[in-house]
Amino acid sequence: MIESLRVRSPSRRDFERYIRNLQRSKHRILVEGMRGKSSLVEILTWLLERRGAAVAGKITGLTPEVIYRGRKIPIDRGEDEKKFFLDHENVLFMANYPADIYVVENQAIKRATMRLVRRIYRPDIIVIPNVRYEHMEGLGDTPEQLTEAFLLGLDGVDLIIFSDPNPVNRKLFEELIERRRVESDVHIINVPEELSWIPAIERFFISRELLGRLGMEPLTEKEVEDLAGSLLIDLIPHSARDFLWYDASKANDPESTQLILNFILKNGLNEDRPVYVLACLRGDRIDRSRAFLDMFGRLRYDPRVERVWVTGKYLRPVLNTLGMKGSKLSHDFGEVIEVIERVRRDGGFLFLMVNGVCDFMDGIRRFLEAEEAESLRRREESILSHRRIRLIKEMITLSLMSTTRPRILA
Amino acid sequence: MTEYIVSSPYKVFLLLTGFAIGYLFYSKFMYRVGGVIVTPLLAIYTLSNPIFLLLFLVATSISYATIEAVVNFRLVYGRRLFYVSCFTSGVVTFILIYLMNVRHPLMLTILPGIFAYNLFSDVNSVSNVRKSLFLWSLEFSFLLIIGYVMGLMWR
Repeated sequence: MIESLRVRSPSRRDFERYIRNLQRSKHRILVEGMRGKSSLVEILTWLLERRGAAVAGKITGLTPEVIYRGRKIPIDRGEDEKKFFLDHENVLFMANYPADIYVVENQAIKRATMRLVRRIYRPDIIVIPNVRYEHMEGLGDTPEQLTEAFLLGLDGVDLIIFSDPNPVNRKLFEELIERRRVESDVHIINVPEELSWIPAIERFFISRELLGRLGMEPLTEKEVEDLAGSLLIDLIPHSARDFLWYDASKANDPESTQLILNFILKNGLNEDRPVYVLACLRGDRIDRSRAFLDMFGRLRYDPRVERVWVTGKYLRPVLNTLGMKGSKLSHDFGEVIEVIERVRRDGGFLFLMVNGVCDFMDGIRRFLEAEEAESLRRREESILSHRRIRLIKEMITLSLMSTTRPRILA
Repeated sequence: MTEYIVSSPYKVFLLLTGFAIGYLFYSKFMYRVGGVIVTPLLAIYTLSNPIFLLLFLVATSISYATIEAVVNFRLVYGRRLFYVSCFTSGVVTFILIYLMNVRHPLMLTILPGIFAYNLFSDVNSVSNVRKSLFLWSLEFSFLLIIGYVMGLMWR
């Protein structure tokens, strides 16, 4: 039988164990922000465990998991994985997995849920890799409101590490820290500009800073290489018969999606390969559809983009923004096959974006993965070659190893 | 008019029963059609004057159609959409009440807006709308029956 953490209403004993583990733990690190939280939890847990610490990590989101003593333990939310209570899940996690250091993902859905998770874990360290246009309905519509949402309920927090590669966001964060008179020690990492075009680059700098603050052995060159390798492999477009595709729909915010698209266009594709975009818009995520409007506007005028297909609900404003370049797609799978045939005919690149959690996208993903598996002999190769990956890896390693080490947390 | 302002114990009981059922339904099914306050209040108003139910249904339909159109054209979401819904509900209810010339509680003007917004959220989320509407009808009918019986006993 596979071990799993079953979410239920915590008993009195659970609460007692939760309080005991909370009091005994040395550090409680909450990973917040918008993009790359799960991966960062995984990386931090891995790095801390490698240094001999007793760590319990928790990934939230649609496939929640506990990372404990080198194992991944699924969290079972029952029949309907979207119907569970945050307090139940988090109290049970802490009650069942005693550790010296907790590394937990705090989903930025609403201000209230973020504060609730902070109250459960009483974090002494908060890590914010980035702030992007996402969850606007629950956090705020403007960059200022979105950033401010992370600065509420900071009682007991000793250290905040912020590392958004976007200098505008960093400046805004700095201003808000001053305006709100935040008492915690705030460290804003200046990600070097020459690396800021690499998606998720902030995770390296946060890891280095955190290990230094905890007085642990710094990141080794091998660790950086391994992390960079797995990051870059994830950015290689997939090969299907006669065309390439990439699924960026899990990015969920326009800035991250644009960063991924730019990275692939610059490093992973020949210039003559036409680009096709397929986006799925959800009726329950109108805020997300709205956040992507600017990006759709940029796609309209991008000469490499041939066509943008959109499907889902409330498409009119998006189609208006896309003009002649946009087309509406029904949920009929026959139409999808036509779309894929068109990309194949042109030897193009198909870029999936906006909503990863969507039945329609699941269907396309399965179809493309099956194509990929079937066509291994006739596959088209991305030009994001091993040589280029090695070069980017070297850039990251060089940058991380050459700068000064962080000071230890008091 | 005062009957809408002065609360009698049986109305308070109905309100609290509505909250208790809502709590149970939300814990079990995460259902939210109508929102917290709409169903018990609507039951109380319907018991006072059944025409309010008809008025509520008409105003809800118009509010719902309005927010659908607003989202379709402008991608408005969240609290701003909620305000649009309540505003539409207020205008529609006021016109209907004026035409029908009936005395009404002020809260009735915004209940359809709250209901329409919550219904819109349910329709566009992954939850089962038919189930939500069924549970809402169940709660509403139950409150009506209890209220009617208690009203008879109290008076």
